Amino acid sequence: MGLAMAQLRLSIWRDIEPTPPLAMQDEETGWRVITRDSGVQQEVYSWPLLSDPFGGIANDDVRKDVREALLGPLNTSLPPAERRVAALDEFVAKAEQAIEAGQTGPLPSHSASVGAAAVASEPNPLLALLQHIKWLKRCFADRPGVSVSIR
Amino acid sequence: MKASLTSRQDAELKIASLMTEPCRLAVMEERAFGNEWLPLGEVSLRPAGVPLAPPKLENVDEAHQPAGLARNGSFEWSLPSISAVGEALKALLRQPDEGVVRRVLGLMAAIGVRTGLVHPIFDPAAIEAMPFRRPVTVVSDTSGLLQGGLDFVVRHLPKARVKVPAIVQMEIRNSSHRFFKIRRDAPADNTKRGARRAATQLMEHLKSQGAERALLRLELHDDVEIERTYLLGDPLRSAFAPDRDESLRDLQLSVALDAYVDRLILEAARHHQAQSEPDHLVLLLTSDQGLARMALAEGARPLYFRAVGGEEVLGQRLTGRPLDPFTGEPRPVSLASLLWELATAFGKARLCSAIGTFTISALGEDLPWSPFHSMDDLLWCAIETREPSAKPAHTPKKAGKPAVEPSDPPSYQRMNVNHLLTLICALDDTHELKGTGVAELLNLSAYSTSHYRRFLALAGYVEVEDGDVWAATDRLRGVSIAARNRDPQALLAGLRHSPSFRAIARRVEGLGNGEALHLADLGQSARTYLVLAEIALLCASVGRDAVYPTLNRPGPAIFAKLALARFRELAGDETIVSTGLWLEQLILRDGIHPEVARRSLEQVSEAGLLRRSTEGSTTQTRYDDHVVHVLRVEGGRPMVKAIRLYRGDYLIPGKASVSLRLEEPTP
Repeated sequence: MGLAMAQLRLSIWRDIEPTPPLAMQDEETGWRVITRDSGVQQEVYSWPLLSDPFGGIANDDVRKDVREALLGPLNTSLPPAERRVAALDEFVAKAEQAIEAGQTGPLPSHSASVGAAAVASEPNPLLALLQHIKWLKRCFADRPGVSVSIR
Repeated sequence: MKASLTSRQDAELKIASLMTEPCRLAVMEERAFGNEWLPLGEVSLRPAGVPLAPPKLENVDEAHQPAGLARNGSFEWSLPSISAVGEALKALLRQPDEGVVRRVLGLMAAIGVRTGLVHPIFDPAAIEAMPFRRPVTVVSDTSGLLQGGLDFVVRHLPKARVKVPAIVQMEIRNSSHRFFKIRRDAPADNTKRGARRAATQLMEHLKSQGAERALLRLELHDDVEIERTYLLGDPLRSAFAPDRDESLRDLQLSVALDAYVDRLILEAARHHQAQSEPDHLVLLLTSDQGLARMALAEGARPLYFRAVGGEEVLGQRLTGRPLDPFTGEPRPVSLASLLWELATAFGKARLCSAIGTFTISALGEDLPWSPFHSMDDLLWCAIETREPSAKPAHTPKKAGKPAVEPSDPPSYQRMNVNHLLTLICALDDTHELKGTGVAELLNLSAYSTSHYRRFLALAGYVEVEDGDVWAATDRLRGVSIAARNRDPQALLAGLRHSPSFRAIARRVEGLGNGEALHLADLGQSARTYLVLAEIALLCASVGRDAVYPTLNRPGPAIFAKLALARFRELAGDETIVSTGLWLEQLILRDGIHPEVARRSLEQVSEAGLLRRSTEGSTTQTRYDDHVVHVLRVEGGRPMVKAIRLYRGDYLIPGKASVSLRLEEPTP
């Protein structure tokens, strides 16, 4: 039922602006200069998910739906332009819906989690995650060139 | 109810005795609110993985006792919407302008930030540098302290050394002086001037006492060293005291210079920078855009954050265990620390449940203060219980009696009425269900079913026995039969056994035709009681936000006259009127529920007292938000149906009736 979240980390990235420009060896072109327009990003914020935020959702379909709303749009296989801060909106809406419908609660005792026991026994981990994501949205929403990932 | 000085730890034990069920939270500024309470939603304890244990239950570890849950932040606070709080404030402050209400809502939001339930909205560039690898110095201005930025720094940035310039303390003292000056004067009256005074008093209270508490809390209780900056002698005086030196008149030093305060704070930061190693970072913490820009322009580094607005806190559900923004670990906020912050900022705060009321006072005519109150973080608390030894909600009770004694004001529950009807019928059919079975039946978490348990138990519909078995009583059977038979009169009689529904019914019955029913104080439970009252034909909605009593049950002859009169008023020179509009006029003017109007129209038409005809035309969807809830039975199962009054599919079953024509019968 639970989802092993040990490796998951939410990161915020922004376009790198090297001054002066950087250069690197490239097998195809031989020599590649990194500038602002190269689409290279640096990680500016990194945050670990210490417990399974979805394990406390009672309904299997809702749990899958909410989890997909977070993990799908933030998959690192997508280019940064498709993982802007707005990509979190779907998760926020679905998580709010699940919480308001009373479908969330503590993790079942057999649910996978990492970290201290206190973390594993959170009363409503989805609500805590939602609160944090809303804060990140407010802080980073207007900054150009920002993308979000979960890996 | 005598108040006694209480520590936060002792308060948690007392709160625990009330919190076997959700409690309503309210605050009061006694002068500004005229001794009325401002409702701030509902607080409930959320156990992690085990059922909520009653106080002193020996076989459950301390962390899962209610006091332990309150202490380790295992609670959720469901706040009323910003519009509900705004309206309540307008009523309490006797209609201040929108700007004042917005500022008060912002100051209320800052309380949530100072307690750590919500984080300040930092500049993204500032977050990128957090949580600082090397020691930094953070110099705070007054907004940094009041809006919770400094609390965030202390809580989450261990490498930061905090410095509070003396001018900040003086700004807070000035605000405090203004607050007590207004407080000592006569109470605000009902004039416009009185309303302005009440609003000013509230704002100065929130600012001065909230900021003073933040400073004292950081100085005395948190593991942080706050350093003072040098006093800057004369410049401090010039920042606040009018200087009447004739020779300096051109410099306008007699005008209070807000920018001068900013200048002194910036100079304090520069002073620290000058005294530090060249590569030591000194940051100026502020939510003041002007000060942040001035710092940037002068080569200083601002640690800017945007103050959290009322709309970002009100209407939200907040957990007492928010996650650390850098480590991801829970950072518990004890329930008592939230209550202490609210009580200090407003003067009083209280938690109310069916079991009793816990009131915390920080300020009062007969409440003295001594330094040890601040050093030990003591406030004046009083608890009033209906039963001195409050029993857990699941203790078996005699048949038909509520599991928890009802109280005044009653405890309102938040439920889906369709779920409630399903549960009532299932309990009627099976006679009893286990708590886990109820959660499965309704597809809800065990926690969410607690609202249903309380509603049913308080109404005496079920006895909740050992092992969490919900056993149906005869009362429940009566409600179940009434719902299945679509008998609104019997349904109303059955629902009246619920103390909370009874309170709403009395509220409706105290209104005249066309007088709006207000349910904003019920917070997120309001919709539940609106739907229940509508299906029991007590009231009906007109549009999205207005609800009116519908207690009139006219006989056929009187109904025919009223129906024709409303038709003629609406029709004017036309021959037809909108059916939705006609039904709403009967609600507003005559207190007639659409269900009553629909049935009565059928009767008078059959009796030949009126001639009716309807037209279908195009389905009207423009007014789809004009909805009334009615009871229907499908497949033997009662359910709530939302009727869109303007759609034209309601008045006559199977016949389109967007528009209506009524005529007197031909002789």
